[in-house]
Parts: sequence; structure tokens; C-alpha cells
Amino acid sequence: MSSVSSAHRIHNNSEPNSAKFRHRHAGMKHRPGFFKLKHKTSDKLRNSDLYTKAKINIENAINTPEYIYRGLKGDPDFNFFEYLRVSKVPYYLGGLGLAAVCLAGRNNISPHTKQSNAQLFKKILSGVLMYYVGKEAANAAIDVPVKLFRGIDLNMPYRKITALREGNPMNLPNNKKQGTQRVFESAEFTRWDLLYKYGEKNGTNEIFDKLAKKFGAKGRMADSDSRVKGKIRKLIIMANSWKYMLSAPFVTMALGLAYQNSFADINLRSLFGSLVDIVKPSSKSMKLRLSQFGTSLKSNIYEPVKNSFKELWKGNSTASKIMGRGAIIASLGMAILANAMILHKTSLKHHARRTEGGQK
Amino acid sequence: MSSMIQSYVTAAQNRKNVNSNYSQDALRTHVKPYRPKGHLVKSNPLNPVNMIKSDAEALKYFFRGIQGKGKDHSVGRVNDIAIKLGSLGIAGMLASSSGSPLNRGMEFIGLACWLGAMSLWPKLAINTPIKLTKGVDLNLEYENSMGQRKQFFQDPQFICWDLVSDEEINKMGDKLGIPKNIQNRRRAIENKARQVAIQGNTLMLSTAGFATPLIAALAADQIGKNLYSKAVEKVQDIKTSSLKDKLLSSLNTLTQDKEANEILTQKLTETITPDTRKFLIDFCNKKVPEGLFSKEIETAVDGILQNSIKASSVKIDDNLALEVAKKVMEQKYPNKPVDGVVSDEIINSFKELVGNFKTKYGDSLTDKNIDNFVASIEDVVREKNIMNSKKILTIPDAIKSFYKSKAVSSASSETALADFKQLVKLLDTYNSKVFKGFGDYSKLVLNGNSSASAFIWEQASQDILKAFGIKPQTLKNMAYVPSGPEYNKLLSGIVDDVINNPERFNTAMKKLGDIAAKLNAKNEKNIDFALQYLDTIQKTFSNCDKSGALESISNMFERLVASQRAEVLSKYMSTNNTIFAPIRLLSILKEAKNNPDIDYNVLKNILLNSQNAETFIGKFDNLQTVISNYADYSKYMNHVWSGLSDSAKQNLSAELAKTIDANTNIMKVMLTSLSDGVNTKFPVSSGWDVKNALRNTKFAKYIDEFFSLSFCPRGDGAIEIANRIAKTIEQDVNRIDELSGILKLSAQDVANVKKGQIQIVYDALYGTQKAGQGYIKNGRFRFKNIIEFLGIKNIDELGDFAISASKVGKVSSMEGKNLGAFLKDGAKNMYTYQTWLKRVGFSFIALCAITAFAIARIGKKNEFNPDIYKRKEKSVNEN
Repeated sequence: MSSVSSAHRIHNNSEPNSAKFRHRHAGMKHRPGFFKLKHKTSDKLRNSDLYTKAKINIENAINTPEYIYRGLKGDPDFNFFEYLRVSKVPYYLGGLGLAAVCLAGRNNISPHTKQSNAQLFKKILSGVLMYYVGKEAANAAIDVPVKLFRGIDLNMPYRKITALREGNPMNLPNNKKQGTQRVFESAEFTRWDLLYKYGEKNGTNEIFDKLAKKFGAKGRMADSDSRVKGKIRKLIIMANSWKYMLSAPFVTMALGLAYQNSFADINLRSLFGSLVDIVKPSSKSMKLRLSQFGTSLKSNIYEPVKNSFKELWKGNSTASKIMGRGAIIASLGMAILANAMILHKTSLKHHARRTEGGQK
Repeated sequence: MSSMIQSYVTAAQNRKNVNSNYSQDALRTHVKPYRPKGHLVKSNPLNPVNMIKSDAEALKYFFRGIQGKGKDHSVGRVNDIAIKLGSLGIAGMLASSSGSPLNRGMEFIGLACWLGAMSLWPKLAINTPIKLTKGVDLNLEYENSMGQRKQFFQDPQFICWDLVSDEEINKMGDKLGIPKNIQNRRRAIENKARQVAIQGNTLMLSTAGFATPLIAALAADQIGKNLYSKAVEKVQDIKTSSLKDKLLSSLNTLTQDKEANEILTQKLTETITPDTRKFLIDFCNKKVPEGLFSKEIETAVDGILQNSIKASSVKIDDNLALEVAKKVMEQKYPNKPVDGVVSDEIINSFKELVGNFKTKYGDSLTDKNIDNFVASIEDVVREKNIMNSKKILTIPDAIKSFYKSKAVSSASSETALADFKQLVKLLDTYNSKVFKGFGDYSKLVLNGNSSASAFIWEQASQDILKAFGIKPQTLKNMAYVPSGPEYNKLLSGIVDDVINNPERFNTAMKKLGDIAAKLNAKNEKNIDFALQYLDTIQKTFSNCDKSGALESISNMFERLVASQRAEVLSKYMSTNNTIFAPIRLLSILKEAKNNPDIDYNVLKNILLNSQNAETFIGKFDNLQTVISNYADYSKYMNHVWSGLSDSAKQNLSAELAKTIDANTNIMKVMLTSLSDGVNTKFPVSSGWDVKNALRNTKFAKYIDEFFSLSFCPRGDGAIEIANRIAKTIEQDVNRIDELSGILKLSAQDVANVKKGQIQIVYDALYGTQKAGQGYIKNGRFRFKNIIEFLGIKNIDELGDFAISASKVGKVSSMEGKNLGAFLKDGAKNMYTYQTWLKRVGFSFIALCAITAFAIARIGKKNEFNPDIYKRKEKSVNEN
């Protein structure tokens, strides 16, 4: 649940020129070769498609127990990035724990209590899940428009190679560890170096040229990189601030939706069944199967969610009406305001002549 | 060149946040960098001021961030405030859709506990023990040169050791057990401290997911139970008393509705047509809930209009003569158009009449002279022989109604306006001030469902179970065994245990008495006020000007007050029954146990068996509905007499035989069914005469007396009283005295009810209030009888005498439940809660144990930290 962004520190850490580094490792000099640092980075951009991103999420999840193990052992190579990965543990565990605590008193005194337990379970679980959905929706409310209008994928991943201290008992090949981080995670230590295309036909600045166009610059710029960098830095700061803040109305709205009567009509089992039907060999035509899936999607997801929105809007008391409408209006309003502000502030249209845009 | 560098550096200096690139450039140009301003921050992490400061700072960072200003660190801080705001939103959302104020508040308490647990667990459970045992303070913060405040140990690869002095490091090292005589001890200590920090932080993250919900749940539970429910109670007390004041003062300062006045004035100075009348009725109806009084309001409006008409007049002129002539001719030829039949001759004769009348009575026709006017018309008609004598009879009505219709159009509005104002005032008072306010009051106080008393009652049912001294296994059985014979057997066993063990009996009675007294005292206050308030309303209405048309409507209000009073009293009784049910159960059974004449088991079964929860005499009220199930009369009678021993039935029938009017068919049949068990078809259409006849028997009189006792059951215990009395009658009618003695003793055990409280109840019932008396006549509540029955001549003698009278506000879910079901509910709640507490508590203890074990292992040597130290060579001076 920690809130501090990490990338710069990890990156910075392997910079042997930094004064901090020299200072910190001064005492280790008597052990020659303690750190075999590669000056040439082998960090590399990874694909930005959904498949790769899903793969990265799974990789991270699989690696988390290892991080915990090393953290609990106090491995000196344990870094802040790993710390942040571990901090996802209480984030998800807390929600599930809350659901578990609510249900801890359950018993089957009578068939009635059994039934109400099941209902309670479903309700609490959907509440907890909707919390995470709300969080993700808040992120998407910024990420998607930014990608669409500015061509920046804020979640663009890259492979990060970290050299480990000699004598690390993990015995990794070349004593190097690899992980995945995001290019635009940090505004201060953005990995610009990965965006240059040295020796390419379209010029080193190919990516920046494209971005400059997306940012509204007219014509080709000689120094597109320095112009765009400043704007991107601004964009990262704004996007992250808004993402965090947007999560407040979004989770409120999500929880509100989860506790509407219609929300209980969401039937994932039935939806999954119709999804399986598409793949399962049968005599039905594909068109029919797809249309059946469409119907199932409508009745199991779309309609319940739509009706939940309606119920949330109407409310069953003045207070719930105010809260429901407030959450919906705040979510939408803030999301629109956020994107409008980001687009306005990061536009290159009117600032083309200004020079303070970025630094090399 | 140097000037260029100079300007570059100056520009850099002018920038607020100095970038490290610039500093390096500055280094290269032999210009000194800024002196680092970083320092450790020593502050109490639990200080609420710091927490608020930090939140305010985060909010500031957000507003800077959305303008594109800030750094990674400051943006990251926005998350802290966003989490809090989001949680607040969730709590608000949940609270807004939750019904009772108690639950509403609990959402926020849950939120506070959640946030509290989230911030306290790392600080108190992880960091503090680590600091105490290892000397490494993971709560430590530092502020860098840019003024950003960060956790000192958060990033293990970037710890600003240069901020820590040698002295402090050595202190840390001593605690960490780093050998003193080694090379580069500071570095060794730093490495060890880093290991501790990594381990501590990871341990915190791995345990927080379990700890936060567990602590939050346990804390919220304890706070809700011990603090919040009491606070809510307090707040409700305050609310209640302020509402009381408001209600009473609103009765005294009834003001008039300005808008209503204006509309009425306008309407009444206009021509009063049927439309106006309709408007006035609608207008008044708006002042009360739909459907109530619509008839009364119509009557009242008409009455007021009539009054105004009486004070009005019609101008006497030729036109009037023409109109009158027309009216007269209408009577003669009801089916013909008037214009065709009115001849000039007739018109002239009426003109003459009008002229004479004008000379005699003045310019206008008024209520005073209308009768004379009608008489003179009749004279003229007769004189001129316009129509036959039979038709003449219809003339006065026709003329009078004509007069009214004309007169209204020029009505004097003053009286009418005054009357309307009063009507509107009454209706307004009724709706918005009196009963709406009272509705709020009873919602807050009398209906426990939406108030803290729900919580109190849930607690009470558990306290009562505790008073019985039930073992955990039995409690589980009580919760699990379904209602029915098996459950009754279980309950019966519990009761037997208590009854057979004098010590347990005494403890139970004492505890039950305390519980009852507590519950009693609280709501008695509220009932007092409710009755007081209703009295005040009643007085207000009795004192209001009931002139003319308003009478019916004021009476209507009084009837409404009466029904409210009945409702309040009914609540009073039903709650009373529930509070004292366990005491009743134990005291009566204890007595029955020692009394050879009473069938203990029958009595116990009736008391605990929900099927016999109806009152003894009350069964006859339901005769009409149950009769279809008992086509066979004798079977029905057996149902009625169930619980009585055979000899009791014999005695009762003998007694009935004496009192019964032999001519009553029902009684005959009843009598035969009792003595011979003859199968006869039931010949009666109503249960009332059976009931009334039964009431006249000596037997029923005793029953009635017992019903009147406040701690004597109206509900589930009725039959056992019948049984007791039947048994008593069998032996000796005089033993009733003994019985009353027992009851007196039980009453003294129960609770302390102040004399004044009894007085209030007594007044409420036996004062001048019609409603109260009506209710008493119903035979459901006879407080006076208790006092007489207990041999108290004067109410002042009561002193501290204990009678468990009253307690209202029983929650709806528990209302009307018999004792067995009430206790079962309590057992379910208690068992569920205990299970929950056990599971959550155990999980928490286990978590603490694991955490403590892990903390003990922190800082130990392992494969990642081999702890190889080199001995310090002589003459090597460190640092």
C-alpha cells in the first residue's frame, strides 16, 4: 500500500557514476569484483499488447512468493521494486480478509441461515471485487484517453536487468536478475533511452517525431525529443495524480453498484457456460452460438449493471440518492475534467516556439 | 566563457527545485554545490496532528500534481489521501443505504478501525518490537534537501546513512550484537540494519493483509458493543428530550399559516360559488394526510359557509320580484320553460309585494326577515289563486334556497374567514405539529426497530441467557435444535436445572431482576412522556373553540388521540410481558414445584410451548376463525380447556352450571361437553356470549384478576395461571390469598419502580381521559386491580414497593414472541457471535504468535547475510 514510485531508485542504483553509489559502496572496495556491473544496459522494451501485459502480470504474481522469501530473509539485493510487488499482497489479501472476517460467524443453524450466508457471501465478495474493479476503472479512465489522444501507453513495459551482488545465493546466470518495469512509471527517471532508435532509417527520434504529431505539433521538428519529453513528464505527473484521486469516487460508485438489488442478477456461471458453448463442438452454426453468447452477455452482465446504475441513481432514501448520484456525477465529472486538463496542458499546439519544454 | 557559466549557475539557483544535473555541472565549474539540508525527522508517528498535517500536504500535492507540477514522491503521496477519501466514500455509501442510525454509524466506525488498523499494525506490532529488540527504528523518517519527507528505511538500496551519526550507529550496533572489535564496524552495522529493515518491512507487508481486517473487525465490534451503542443511547436521550421540548412548545405556540390566510381571505372576499366551496374543501384537505377526515372537513366547510350566509343579504328591487315570480311559477309547472308561463300580471303582483315589503322591512332581504318574506309570498299566491294549495307547500323551500343562492354571492366574509382560519389552524396543528411530531417521537423511542434499542434488546436476550447460567454446549444445542418438542425438552431441562438448584435460582432471579429493571427504567420514561404529550394534545383540543362547524372536527381529533393512546399502552403491555416473561416463568414454576396441588409438568409445558401462547379467555375471541377447524364441538372445548386437569374441568363445569343461564344454548352445550363429553354440533355464531358468560363465573373472575397484574401474563403465561387457579379452586378457594402473597414476593424481587411512575400510569389510565377508560374497559389492562389485589388501599403506601410495571419499545422482530422463541433467538445470536469471536480472535492470536516468532528471527545470520567480520588490526583507526 506504499505510495512511492520506484523506478528511479532501481535505475539509479546501477549507475556507477553517481556520487551516491560511490559513497555507499566505499566500504566494499576491499573486495574486488564484488559488484560486476555492466555499463552497457541490456534493458529492452517489451511488447505493449494485451497478451504480453497479461503474461507480465502472471510473471509478477508467480515471482511474488520469491520476493517475500528473500525479503523475509533480508537479502541485501532486495530492491524497492520488489518491495512494491510485495505491497500488492496486503492490497489483495486485505479485501479477501475483510470478506472472510465478515463471514467468520457463519453457521448452518437452519437452512435459512445457510441460504442467507450464501447471499451474504456473494454480496461481500462482489463488494470486495467491485472495489478492485473501481480501482482499475479509475486507472483506465486516464490510461485509455491518454493512449488514444497522446499515443502514450503509460503502462508500456520493458525488461529490466539488475546485476546482483556477488555471492548472492540465488545462483542466477551471470548473476543477473530480470524483471519487468514500466517506461513511464517515473516522471523524474523516465527511461527515455529505450525510446531512441539509434541508426535507424527514420532517424533516432522516430518515436518522438510520431509523439510530437500526436501532441499537436505542426510539421516536423528538429528537436522533437526535447519538446515532447517535457510534455510527457508533465503528463505522467498529472496522470498519476488523477489516477489516485479518481479512485475515490470510482470505488465509491463501484461499491454502491455492488450493493444494488439488480447487481445480484449478474450470473458469471451462466455467462461462462455460453462462452464454453462457442468453443465446444456442436451442430449449431457459429453465428447462432455467437448470438446466443450475445444474449447471455446482455442478460447476465449488461442488464444487471445497467439496472444497478438506475437503482443507484434513484436511491431508496434521500441520503442514498445523494450518495449514489454524487458518486456517479463525481466519477464522470472528475474523469472528464482530468482528461480535459491533461490534454490542454500537454498540447504542443500553442507552445511550439517555447524552448523550456524539456532537457536532454 | 566564465560569464556564461556564471549566468547558467545563477539561472540554476533561481530555479526552485534544483536538478541534480545542474549541481553536477556546478561541480565541474568549481562552484560549490548547495549545502545538503537533509536531516532525520524525529516525531511521534501516532501524533494525530502529524497525521492531519500529512493529509493536508497530500491534498496540496494533488492540486499541484494536476497542474503538472511535482515529483514522483509528491504524486505518490496523493494515494494516501485518495485511499482515505475512497474509504470515506464507501462508508458513506454503505451508511446511506442502511436503515438504522446504529448501523449507519457503525459503517464509519468500521472505516475508522480499518484505517487505524492499517496504520497502527506496522507501527505498533512490527516496528516497535523491532526497535526495542534490535535498536533499528523502522518508523524513522528523514527530510531531504528538497523538503520531501520519506521513510528512512523504505528503499533498502538507498538509505541515507550519512544522516546518522557514529554515536547513534554504534548504539544500534550494540543492540544488534555486532562485535565491537571488527574492521569497518559502521559498514557492518549499516548492512545488518538494512537486513533488519528489509525483513521488518516484508514481514509488515506479509502480515498486514491478515492483520488489518482482523484488528478492524475486533476493534469495531468492541467499540460498537461497549462504547458506540451507549453513545447512541445517550444521543437518543438528548434527541428525545429536545424533541419533547419541541413538541410541547409547538403545542403552546401555534402560529397561523400566512399563506393559508392570504388564500382564504382572497377566496372568501370573492363570490362564493360551488367552485369556491370545492376549492376550500380541497385546500383544507391538503392540510391532513389523504383520506383522513375528508367527510368531516366537508361538513365543517359547509357549516362555515352556512354561517357566513346567515350574515348576508339580498337587495330588494324589481329584479327580485321577477326572480321570485319565476321561482313560484317553476313550482307550478316543473316541466315547462319558465319564460313562457310567467305572465305580466303575476310579475306585477310580485312587484307590488316587493314594494310593500321594502317599505316595511327596509332595503334588503336578510336572514331575519326571510320567513316573513316567504309568508307574504304565500299570501299573494293564495290571494291571487295562482296555484292550488298542495303546490303552495313547496314554495317556502324553493324561495329559501333561492335566497341562499343569491345571498351567498354577496356573503359577508368576516365570520367565515375567522372560522376558516381556525379550521386550517386545527388541521395544520393536527398534521404538521402534533401527530407528525409525535410520529417522529414514537419512531425514535417507541419503535425500537430503527433505534439503538434494537441493539439493547439483542444484548438483553443474551444477558437473559447468561442469567440462566447456560453452558456453551447447551447454548449451541439451543441454537441448532429446531423449534418443536425437542427444543421444548431442552428448554424444559434448563428450567428444571435452575428451579432445582436454589443457589442458581436465586442468582438467576437476581440477574433477571437487574436486567428487567434496567430495561424497564429506560423506556418507562418515554412512555411517561408519550402519555403526557397525548394528554396535552387532548387538552388543547378540548380547550379550542368548538363553535358550530368545528365541533365535529375537534371530536375527531380527540378520537385520534384516543387511538394513539391505545397504541402506546399496547406497546407498554407487550414489552412488559417480554421483559418479565423469564421472571414469571421461574417464579411461577418454583411455586408450582413446591405445591403438590399443581401439575408442574403440565404448567411448564404450557409456559414453554408456543402453541399455547394465546390467552385463556382470548381463545373465545378467535372462536369464529377456529370454529372451522373444530367442527366437533367437544374437541374444541378440549382445546380450550387444554392445560386443565380432569378434576379441574369437573370443578369448572360444576361452577359453570350454577352461573349459566339455562336458556342459553351455548352454555348448555358447553356444560354437557364438560361433564359428559357429548358430541354435539356447535350451535353458536359468536364467541362473545360464551366469553361473557364465562367471565361471570368465579373461576373467570380469578383469571381476570390475574390478567390484570402487570407482571402477570396476558400472553403465553395465561393458561398456566388458569391451571394454577383451577388447581387452587379444587382445593380451597381461599388459597388465592396465598397465591397473591407469592406474587407480591416475586414482584418485590423484580425491580424498583418509583411511586411516581406508578402514579403516572395510574393517572394515564384512570384520569379523566376518555381514551384511557375506553381502553381499560376492554379488560386488557387493569392497573388499579393490581393495587387492590395486592391489598394496597392508598397508592401512596406503595413507597419503594416493587412492581414491574411497564417497558415499551420492544423491537418488532421480537415482539409477540413467546419465551421459548425469544430465548432461541438470543441463543442463535449469542452462539453466532461467540463462534465469530472465537474464530476471529483465534486467528488474530495465531497471527500475533507468528509475527512474534518472525520478529525474534529477524537480524539472524542466514544464507543471504553470512555475517563475516574481520577482526580489527591494531593501530587501525576507523574513520
